[in-house]
Amino acid sequence: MGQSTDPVKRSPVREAKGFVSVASRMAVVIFALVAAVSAAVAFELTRREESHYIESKRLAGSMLTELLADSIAPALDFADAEAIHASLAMLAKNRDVVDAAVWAAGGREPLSRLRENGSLASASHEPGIRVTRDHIDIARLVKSPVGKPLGSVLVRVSLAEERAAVVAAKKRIFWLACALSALVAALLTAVVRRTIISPLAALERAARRLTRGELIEVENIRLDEVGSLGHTFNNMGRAIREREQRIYDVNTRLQGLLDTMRQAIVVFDGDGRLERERSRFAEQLFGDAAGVKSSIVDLLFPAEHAPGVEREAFRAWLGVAGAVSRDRFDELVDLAPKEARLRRGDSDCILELEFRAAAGDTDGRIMLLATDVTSQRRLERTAETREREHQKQLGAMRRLVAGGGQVFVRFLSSARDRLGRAVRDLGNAGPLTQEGVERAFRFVHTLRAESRSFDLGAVEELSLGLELELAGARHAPPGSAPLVVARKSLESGYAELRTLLDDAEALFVESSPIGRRVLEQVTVSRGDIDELVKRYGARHDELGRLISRLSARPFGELTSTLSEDAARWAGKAHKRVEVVVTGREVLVPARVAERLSGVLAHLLRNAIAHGIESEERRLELGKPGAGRIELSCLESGDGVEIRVHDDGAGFDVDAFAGGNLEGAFEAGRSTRKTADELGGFGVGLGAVRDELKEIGYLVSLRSQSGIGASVLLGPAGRAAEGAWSTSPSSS
Amino acid sequence: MVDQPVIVVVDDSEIILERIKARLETEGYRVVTTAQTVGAARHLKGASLVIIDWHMPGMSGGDVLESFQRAVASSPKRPAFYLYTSDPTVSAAAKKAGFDGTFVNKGDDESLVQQVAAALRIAKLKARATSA
Repeated sequence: MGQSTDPVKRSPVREAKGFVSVASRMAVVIFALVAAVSAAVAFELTRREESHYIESKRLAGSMLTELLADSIAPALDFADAEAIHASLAMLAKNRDVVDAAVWAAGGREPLSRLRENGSLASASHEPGIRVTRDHIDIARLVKSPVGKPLGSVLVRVSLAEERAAVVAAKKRIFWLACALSALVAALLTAVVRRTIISPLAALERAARRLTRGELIEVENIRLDEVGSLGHTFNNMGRAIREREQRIYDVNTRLQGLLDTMRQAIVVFDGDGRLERERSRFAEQLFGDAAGVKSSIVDLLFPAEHAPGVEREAFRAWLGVAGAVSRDRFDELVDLAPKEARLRRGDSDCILELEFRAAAGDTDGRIMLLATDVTSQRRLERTAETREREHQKQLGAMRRLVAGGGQVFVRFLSSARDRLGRAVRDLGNAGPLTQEGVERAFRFVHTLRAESRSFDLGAVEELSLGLELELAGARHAPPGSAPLVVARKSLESGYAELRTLLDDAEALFVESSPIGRRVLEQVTVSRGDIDELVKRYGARHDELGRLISRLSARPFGELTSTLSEDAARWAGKAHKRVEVVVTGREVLVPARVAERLSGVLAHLLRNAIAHGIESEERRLELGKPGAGRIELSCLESGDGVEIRVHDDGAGFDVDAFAGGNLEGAFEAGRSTRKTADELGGFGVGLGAVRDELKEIGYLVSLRSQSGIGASVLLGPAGRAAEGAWSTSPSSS
Repeated sequence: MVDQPVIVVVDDSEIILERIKARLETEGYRVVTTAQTVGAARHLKGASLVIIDWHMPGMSGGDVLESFQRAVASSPKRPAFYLYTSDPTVSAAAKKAGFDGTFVNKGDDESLVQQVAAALRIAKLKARATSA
């Protein structure tokens, strides 16, 4: 296996105190073993060498003693001391002989000695060989040729040279053993390092690089156990890479899902510190502010913009939510903030917030899903504000209408007159003077009080603004800035007031069931009108026509309650309808008006019961969920033409006899199988036709399957002209 | 609506009161408004939150708070008192006066809605901690 040269951080085990490499351990053990074996061999070799040296010396000494004994035997036999001494002196030339002595048989003291001061006097001369550390004593009997003991001889041979030779041999052997041990240890260590240590080190480095996520494999795998380990490692690395690839693929798909959601998703820990997980939209929305370890509190409620109470509430929630276990997190969701506003330049970005316990190994991790609802909220709030204002004013107007709209009409007229005078006053006066300020002040002050009593909030607010500005300019010197500014404010304010008064009038008319006629209305007793009709109604002159018009009732008045009634009837049928009335100002002759409210109610109920589909069905058909019923009225000669149109399913013509729409007027005919509160069994349309016929009016039907149906009411004369023929399919 | 928090708003401007009431009621709160400081304490029964203007005629928001706190001293449930101002210098004085906090951005109704919600959440978290 090859070794990598890449720098790899050392493992903590290698850095640990007391770390000893396997190579070092093996080197020490191998060296110790080889050294011990070498020492044992050296000991045995030196022992044998020493024995060999001593034996050689002993043999040489024995031979020398033998020769000495033979040479001195005659001299000893004749007690020739001089000859004995001469023989001993011959030994002095031998440097191995330390000393020698001769004893006569039975004598205790030596007859002759080689060294007078030697130590042999006290030594034993009994025949034998005695080896000491420094020398060898060899004693022998001296005999005559006939075997008669003549005495004894003792020769001491030195072992100094042998000992020195042994010591030298020991040293040699020791150093040779050491060298051999070192060589063997080095060779074995090198082999171990090459075959085990280095491959293991390479494997370790590869494992560490794999831990860091690098794609690495060990190479040059040998065919042995370590090679097998490397092969297994490579397989493990490949398996890890495959698993990582699968995880990466899954994560990529999940990230893709997150990124396609228009939600900013971030995860933070129990202390509110952002973690790494986030969606692309979060990066776009929060930018650099959402760095890892950034505070979620600062992110959603930055100290420089967000109200302190919102930061405090979020921190308090985080303190609790970040500490609870995942299964109890839902208890705290309701106490989390639902919305946050981020400053983006000059405008705010409104985020809808949703917090969830994030999946993971530890509790306390929280996921935030933030949706940018800025546009939606603005629309909602604008619509809410307008609707609220509209409803408020509509209610006020209805109260006015119900309580006598003439007062409001008078206010509008008076306010317009005074506004006209104020505008002229401003236009004619040149620079604004203190007198002009006072006149304008009185005008806007009065207007504010009056508009307040009619719930005209916008007029009141604008008047108040002008009033405050004029109050500030009341004591300003002529030509000064406050007067100039006040004049400009009055110019634009008066124009706006005119618009607001026009709007108020339009709303007043809209809320009136009789439309613009409410502006011309006066209060007259119904009894007086009836009396007039009774006396002069039959006349065909100008007076008769005037009385007829006086007794007529606006179409809007006859339909004023139908919108609410229709909504109620539809609700009972689990449907929704919207009633639109046009021609509210058209005057309906008294004889028609008497019957029209009942007829229209009947037609509306029919339309809801038979024509308008359920909301679900309408949505399936691509229609608006709420059905639309239009009540229209047009003047027609001395009478009126009325049309009731709905955008429902139309009449089921096939259910009528002969497939003729006229069948709808037959008693007992209905497209419904059962009668209910809304639509009966079909007697209604016939009854309507009969009732209107009595006053010279005809009923005509038109229907278009799936598109809608119309019921037309009009004077018989018009019907004779063909305008009111019943049609099953024409539009 | 019975379970909805009751919010008492004290301000000397009828227009402001009306606007706040309309906005908060669309969020489902029950809102009681008063421009009168005298006798206003009677509105505190059952209230969760009291919003007080600092600049009241005749007395400061701190004085109003003091009288309100005396009124609820024996009540088992004390509402949270918040000062409503756009003046940052008043915020510091509010804490000293004993307000639970300050609502800022006066005039921004949307911000007020968020701040009211935050104040009520704080009150609930405190109640939760106390009950635990």
